[in-house]
Amino acid sequence: MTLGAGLQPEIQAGLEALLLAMADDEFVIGYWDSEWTGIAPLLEEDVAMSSIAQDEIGHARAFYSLLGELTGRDPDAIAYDRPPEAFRHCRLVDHPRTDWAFTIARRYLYETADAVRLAALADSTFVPLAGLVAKIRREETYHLAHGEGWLRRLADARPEGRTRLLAALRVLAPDAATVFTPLPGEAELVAEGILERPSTALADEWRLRLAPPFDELRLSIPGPAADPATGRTAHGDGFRWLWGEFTAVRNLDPVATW
Amino acid sequence: MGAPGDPGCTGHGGRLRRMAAMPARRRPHLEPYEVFRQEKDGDPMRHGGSVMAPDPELALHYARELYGRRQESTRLWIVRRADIGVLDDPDWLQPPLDRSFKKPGGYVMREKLGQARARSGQAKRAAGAGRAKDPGGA
Repeated sequence: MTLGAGLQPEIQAGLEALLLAMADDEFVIGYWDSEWTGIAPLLEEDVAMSSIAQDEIGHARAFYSLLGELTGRDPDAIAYDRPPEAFRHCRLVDHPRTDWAFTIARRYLYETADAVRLAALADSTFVPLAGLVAKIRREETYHLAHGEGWLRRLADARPEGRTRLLAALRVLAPDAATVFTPLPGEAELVAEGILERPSTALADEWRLRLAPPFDELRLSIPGPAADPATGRTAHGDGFRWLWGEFTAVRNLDPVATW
Repeated sequence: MGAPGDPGCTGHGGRLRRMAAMPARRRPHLEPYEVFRQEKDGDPMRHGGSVMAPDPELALHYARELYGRRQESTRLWIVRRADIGVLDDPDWLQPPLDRSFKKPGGYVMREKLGQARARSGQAKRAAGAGRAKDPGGA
């Protein structure tokens, strides 16, 4: 019997879409950021960023496992055996790693958005999800503090750090709000109390939350997503390259026991 | 002299914080300095205890009298307690998710190590020098 036994089909479909979106977000940003291993700006930061990236992949694993229990599928198969177009991560995390300022800008936008999303699941009526989210939120407090520390450091580092940060934010702004791309079946999830509020309300809350630090550092708060309809479906060549990288070992021998 | 390990601060909630919490106006004449000592050259610095002093220079003298006058130390570090960064937030240090994959204990190295040693022509080192299993963290 799977975890989803007894759920109405449309609720189950909504829950699957939510879990897949969150898992893919964490998985993809985790892989991008793990690319800093060995080349981060300083040795201590190399360890920190690698560890954070590993945390995100750990969170993805937890979400894929929950999705696996819900659907009777193998979490590794969900993570590694899909074609790139079947991924449902948001376009904010689709961009390549780029430079350090870009990675920090993206991390900060993502972590703040993820914090709002996780808060909206803390009291979820789908109890296994609420339990997992409680654990993940504790770990994300450190990620957020790390991101904010670096954001401030770069915003105040004139001219080069700030110039690079502003350039990164300009590229990311049209895609920042794609974390809150409305999911199929979302209305049912809200009606059931699985998700506290719809994505549009969460996006508004996220912008309110960005206002104090962004005003203080004189940075522009990203507006609505430029192309919200394809926020989780249109992936770029950068992601297709990354997909080739993270599936390479699995594809050497898909049935190997590790 | 304050008790060793006296946290000198209360409560969770902050992340990294400074020990100093007392407003300047109410700060007493004396304040605590933590003393670290090295027993012999090459040893790590270990926390020895603390002294109360009105300024860093006298703290140095007091530390010398309390932790060095019997030739029991080759070096002392004397740090104003208020300057110590403290991190004890369990969300940062003891998060509840399984993080065993960050430790190398899960990897079985014995065979690979043996092969590497054979390749390099080295015999296994004396017992205790090269433990096959090391559960230390990454």
